[in-house]
Amino acid sequence: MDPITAIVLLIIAGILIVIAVHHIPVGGAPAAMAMATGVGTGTVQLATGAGLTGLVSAGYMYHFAGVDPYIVLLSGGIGSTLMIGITMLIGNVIYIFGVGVPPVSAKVKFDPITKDRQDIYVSPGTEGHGIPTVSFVSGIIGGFIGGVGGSLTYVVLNEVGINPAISAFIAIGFFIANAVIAAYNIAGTIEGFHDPKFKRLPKAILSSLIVSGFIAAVVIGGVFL
Amino acid sequence: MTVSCAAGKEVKEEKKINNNLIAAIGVIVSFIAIYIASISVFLAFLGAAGILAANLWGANGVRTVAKYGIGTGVPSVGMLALGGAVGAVFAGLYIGKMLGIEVAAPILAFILSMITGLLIGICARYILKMNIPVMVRCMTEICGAGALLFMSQFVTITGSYGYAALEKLAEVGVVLFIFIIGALGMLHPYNACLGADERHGRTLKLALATGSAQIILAGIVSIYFLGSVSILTLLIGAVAWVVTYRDFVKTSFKEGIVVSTGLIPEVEKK
Repeated sequence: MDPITAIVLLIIAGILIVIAVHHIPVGGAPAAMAMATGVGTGTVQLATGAGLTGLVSAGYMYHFAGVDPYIVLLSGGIGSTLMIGITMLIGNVIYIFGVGVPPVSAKVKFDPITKDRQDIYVSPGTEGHGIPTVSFVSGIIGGFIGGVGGSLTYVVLNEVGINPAISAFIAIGFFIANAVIAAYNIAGTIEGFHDPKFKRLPKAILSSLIVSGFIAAVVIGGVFL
Repeated sequence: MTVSCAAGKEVKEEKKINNNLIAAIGVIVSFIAIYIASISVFLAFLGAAGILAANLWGANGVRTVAKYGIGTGVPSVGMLALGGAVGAVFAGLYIGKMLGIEVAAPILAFILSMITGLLIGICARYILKMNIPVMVRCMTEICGAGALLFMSQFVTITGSYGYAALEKLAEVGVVLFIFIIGALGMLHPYNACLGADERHGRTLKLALATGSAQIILAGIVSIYFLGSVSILTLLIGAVAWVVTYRDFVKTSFKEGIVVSTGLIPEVEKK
């Protein structure tokens, strides 16, 4: 793989990661108390958990299955999707049966997918609870995009001849750097693609372009020096 | 109910801790530790000073920026320190090896890491429009501290800071362990101490304790690479941890607000 293609692919991977993080319903500390919609943890933790699972599945496929790179990327995507899907499902089980709140979005009046009424189920003083259908679907999409982004980083680093173990290490750092940029852009909680904060995405993409571009240039430049 | 608070007095008496001084200690001590510890495996334990200094600098950076309430949680800042430094550390060490200038590799890795942090800071401040004045400086510092912490850990564990050390650590997966304990060491002090009653000195005491805990872990891992010599690192870490953590707990007790509820105390009855 030539250096320019590698750098461009890494930048694309960075942008995919940023887009993915914006899709994942993150509730942060308020959601941990069932006072906001989303999974009750920080953006970076959630995205990293899903991204790293994707990296593991992609790494296995890349080294042991002997398949085309696009299958590796898909496998990474599926790995992350499963991880985030299970996280949201178990989160919902706890919110519904443990805390006793209905999954509901406070950002829209009707769920864009099921068309169910939302606002009347939001407890006063809260910003929604649990993971409603639209957020769940958004999270699944985000998990897939993030998994593809993470495994693309890993595959490109391997293709330019970096040791697989070090590739995984750099891929994780690269993933976290981009996830933090997205987290700074979101600043707190986001419900998914229907959230008004999702419109801020272009700014995060521009930031990721700059930061991923620099990291990619440094890493790939170093390898080809 | 009696309420006694010693913290208020302490704040007035405490001298302001200079961030520039901590940055200087972080950079100078870490670099000296990295270079001296790499001379011989018997001196590898000196890398511990680098771990402490870099961790202190990073934790101070995390505190400075997270104090503004960035809305994403303190852990994200700590994770960024190591995440932003990874690519730069790899590139610095690899370029150093390829050009045959291994001596300059840590400096190169440090500079590249600082530039990564600078770019993240500029993006956060001017593109994402985060209204935090110290963002650019702190992101640069945090990523620089991340790179120094990585290399201090490398040298303490394997006795060398070059690309070969990174390769050795990556082969057995220890590098990921360094990543996460490094990030936790930087983010934990402020994450644990934050609140209205947070005090700079106390947070930094906890940063020294988390740094010492990292030395213990580095010492344990180091047994695989360096053999019995690393017992020295382990012992130094254990002593440092007991001293620093004890000091932190004592300070916390001293400055904590004591609220006694329940029965009315004898004194008030009279």
